[in-house]
Amino acid sequence: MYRPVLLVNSVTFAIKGQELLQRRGISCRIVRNENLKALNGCGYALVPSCDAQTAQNILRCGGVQVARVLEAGAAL
Amino acid sequence: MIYFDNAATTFPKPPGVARAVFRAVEHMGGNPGRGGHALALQSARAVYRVREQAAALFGLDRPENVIFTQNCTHALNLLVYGLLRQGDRVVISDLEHNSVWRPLCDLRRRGVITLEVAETSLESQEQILASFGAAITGGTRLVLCTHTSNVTGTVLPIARIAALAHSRGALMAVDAAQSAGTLDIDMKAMGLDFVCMPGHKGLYGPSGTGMLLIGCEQPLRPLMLGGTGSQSQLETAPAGYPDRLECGTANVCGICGLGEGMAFVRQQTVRQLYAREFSLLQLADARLRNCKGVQLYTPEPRLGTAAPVLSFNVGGLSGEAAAQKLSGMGFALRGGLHCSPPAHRKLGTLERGTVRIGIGAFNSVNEMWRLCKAIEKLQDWV
Repeated sequence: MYRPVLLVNSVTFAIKGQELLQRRGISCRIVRNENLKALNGCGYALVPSCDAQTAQNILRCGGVQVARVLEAGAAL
Repeated sequence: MIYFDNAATTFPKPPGVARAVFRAVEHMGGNPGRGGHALALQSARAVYRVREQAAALFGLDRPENVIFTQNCTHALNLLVYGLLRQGDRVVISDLEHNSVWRPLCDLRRRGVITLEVAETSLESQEQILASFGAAITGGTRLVLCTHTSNVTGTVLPIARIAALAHSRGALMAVDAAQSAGTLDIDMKAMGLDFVCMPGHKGLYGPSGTGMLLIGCEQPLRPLMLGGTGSQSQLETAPAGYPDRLECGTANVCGICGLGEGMAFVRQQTVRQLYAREFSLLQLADARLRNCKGVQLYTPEPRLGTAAPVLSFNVGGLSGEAAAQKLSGMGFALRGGLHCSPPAHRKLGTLERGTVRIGIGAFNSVNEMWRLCKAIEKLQDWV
């Protein structure tokens, strides 16, 4: 299954974002960002079980800024 | 030793605090924000929980705007050096601690800011407000004042001062060194843009902990630069909080202890803690006010406008000498200027200092009676 990868700028936003999504019944993993160029270096990513747009809307409403959305392969 | 130096740091701590620190040392092995492995995330979650607790306790919407610091002084320096710029005008009270006074005097000495001091009254909240009203002009960028004096215990009407500041376009910042955990602080309801606080006083956390809470959109420049585990290719600090202002490895053990301290405060409730400490303050005040040779500097305490500290002198003794004698009798109190020369200048005790009773959650009526008795005995020796 392909899942979106939502890059966030800090571990604080990663945890906050994960909790926002889980509260809406969406499971979500936190992974370390592998694409260093996409985030100007190290950082974290959220891998939710929903589509990117739904996740982004929830995160935006909760004050979590998504730096970039990547479409990841099944490996994630 | 009976401890009455809670205004410097609270002691003892609730038992859960030491257990939380121990648990963190034993189990929180990972570095928060520095890796994606389970231990790093476990530590990061533990730190985030404490951010959430602090945000909930102080009426802040965003846990990420809770910035962990080493102490209140660190938080105040982050604010002062991170916010102020050339030409700013700042208003403070005449009761400020050196943690406010020295950084601002430094900026004034270097010609960066101008500083206006609002004279406070030990008796009238209305007079305090009038004084700030006269000091805050349209060109004021920041009002930064203590919530409660660490020498006189005077509580400043910060919500009303904040309304005044905002009506004239200024930001409002509070030094909550003596009030965090002792008096209700709701940043949103009170209109506070920044609140600086120690973790080791009224929040009952371990030493080495403090917080800067940011309730506005005004960006702060970082005081220190270094690793944040995020956006590492940037030559500058990341733009978002908390990483912008928190670099280097976090004090995970201390922060976990602070979380347990705040849990204690929430469980007891700020109001109950204050009511209990205030009753001990009244007891001491009533007894010492009638004691020959003991000089008090503040009016009889009134609920809501007096924090649980009481400064006094005995006979011709200096504050330090009296505190030393009390120490010999088994009581821990602080003498001297309490790092607050402006307040002592106001009281006329700059040369002599005072002795200060700082009441905490674990002090009892019996302890207060014994202390008062010891102070009366001190008078016999003078």
